[in-house]
Formats: sequence, C-alpha cells, structure tokens
Amino acid sequence: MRHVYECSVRFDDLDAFGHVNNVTFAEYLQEARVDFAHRQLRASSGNAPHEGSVVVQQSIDYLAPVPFRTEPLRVEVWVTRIGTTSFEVAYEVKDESTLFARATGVLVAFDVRGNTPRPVNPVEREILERYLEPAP
Amino acid sequence: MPRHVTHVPLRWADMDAYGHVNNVVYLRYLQEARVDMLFVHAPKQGAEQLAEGVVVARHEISYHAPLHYRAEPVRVETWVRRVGNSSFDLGYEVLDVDGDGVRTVYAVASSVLVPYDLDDAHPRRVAHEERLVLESFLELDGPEPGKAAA
Repeated sequence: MRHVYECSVRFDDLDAFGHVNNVTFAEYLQEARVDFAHRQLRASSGNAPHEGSVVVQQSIDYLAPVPFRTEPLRVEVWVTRIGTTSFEVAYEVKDESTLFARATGVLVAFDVRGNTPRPVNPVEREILERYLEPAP
Repeated sequence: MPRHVTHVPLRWADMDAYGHVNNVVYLRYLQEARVDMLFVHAPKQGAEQLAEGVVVARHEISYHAPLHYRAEPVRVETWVRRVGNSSFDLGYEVLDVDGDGVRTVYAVASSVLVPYDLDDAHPRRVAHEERLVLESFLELDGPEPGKAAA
C-alpha cells in the first residue's frame, strides 16, 4: 500500500528555466513524508513530537520537467525496508499521464530531545509494515 | 586537480522544527555551489554555454552531521567525477575546515547534470570547451555518498 499526498505547485517553485527547481522536488518528497508521518505514524503510535526521524541519505532521479500547473501533483510514498533503528522509503512524483521523478530515502528513528537515534518501536513497525512494498 | 570552493551563507529560516538545517536545504547549498561553479566561473574560462542551460538528472546525498545556524558561511567543495558525451557528474562535500586543516564533513553528494537546450527542449552534447573546463576539476577517487543504514 502507498500513502498518497496531493501536492500543490506554487508559482515560486519555478526557477529561471521556467520549470520546478530540482531542490523543490525534495520539498515535495518531504511534504509527502511528513504528511504520512503525521496522519499515519504519529496519529496511531502515540509518539511524542520529539520522537521523530531524520533523513540520512536520499537519491532523486529527475525524469520529466514540471512546468507551472494549477492541478496538484500526486506524490506516492511507501516503505521498502524496516531495520532496527532505520527504515527506507521510496517515492514517485506523478500525475495521470507522466512520472516526473523517482526517489528513495533512508530515515533513522531519532529522539530529537536526547539527540540520539532510537529503536523503531513496535507500533511504528506495524504501521510501516502496512506500507511495505518492493523498491521500484 | 583543484576543487571549486564556494562559501554559502546560512539563513535562519534554513532550520526546521528540529532546530537543525533541514535536509532539503542541503540541496539548496549544493545548488548555490553548482551555479557559482558552472554559471559564474566556468563561462569566464571559456565554457559560456553552460550558463544557458544545464539540468539535474539525478542527486544522491548522504547526511553525516547536523548543521545549525551560524553567522559564518559553510564551505562547499565541488569537483567533477566524470565527463560523458551528453552528461557529466559532480561531487560535493559540505564542510568546515578549521585553522589546523581539520575537516568536519556535514554531507557528501553527487549529481548527474545534462547540458540542455532550453529553447528546443532537448539535451545537447558536451562541447569541447566545456569538456576542457570540466576536466580541470576532474577527481576520480573523491568521496561518494553511501548508505548509512542501521
């Protein structure tokens, strides 16, 4: 199963080349991931706000340019691996006809207050497992 | 071969709710360094066309240490990993170097860049003058972003 986030394109997401800037794609991925974390992980796990996760690695393949549009983009995010203190996600940025980008990320469950990695807890693991799919 | 060095100022708003520089912003620092290298300095050395269009085909980045707002800019070193016929790869380190030359690395990254004709919307070949300028920054054994999984 994939989490689906409808992502609006803002006028100032475009750069001097008239397309959505490469950095902004990473913002779209982040919005989808945070939406997933808030709606799925945090709502069900009872985690405190400081029990979050941090990004330790990511890769993005840019497949097609995104010109300005009023229709939102569809960002799909799912889980590809669950470790002891880390998990991996994959993303697709697309609409009905075009796949604009593919991406992956490695996240470490992190205690922000204690400034230290923490184990993925059992409730989080169960939720993450529902979104487990092979990497693209 | 030398690396291109850019000092990128931080902004207060680069930090997120966790109180450190957000992961997305590191890509913005890479972009500042890349634009300085390819669009400001490379044209002065004879590769004028680069400034007219280069698009990013891929990014890969590993985050090694958190950055927090400070008044001093952060150093971004950029080099060329590979020059192909219609694309080239850049390597980057985001780091501090102290007075004793000790390096604190915050991130290691690489990008695939494609020279692009924006008027006709298609990729173009790397021109001879561009290759010469890019090859002056060639470093084949530089650090690569790797997965830090647990």
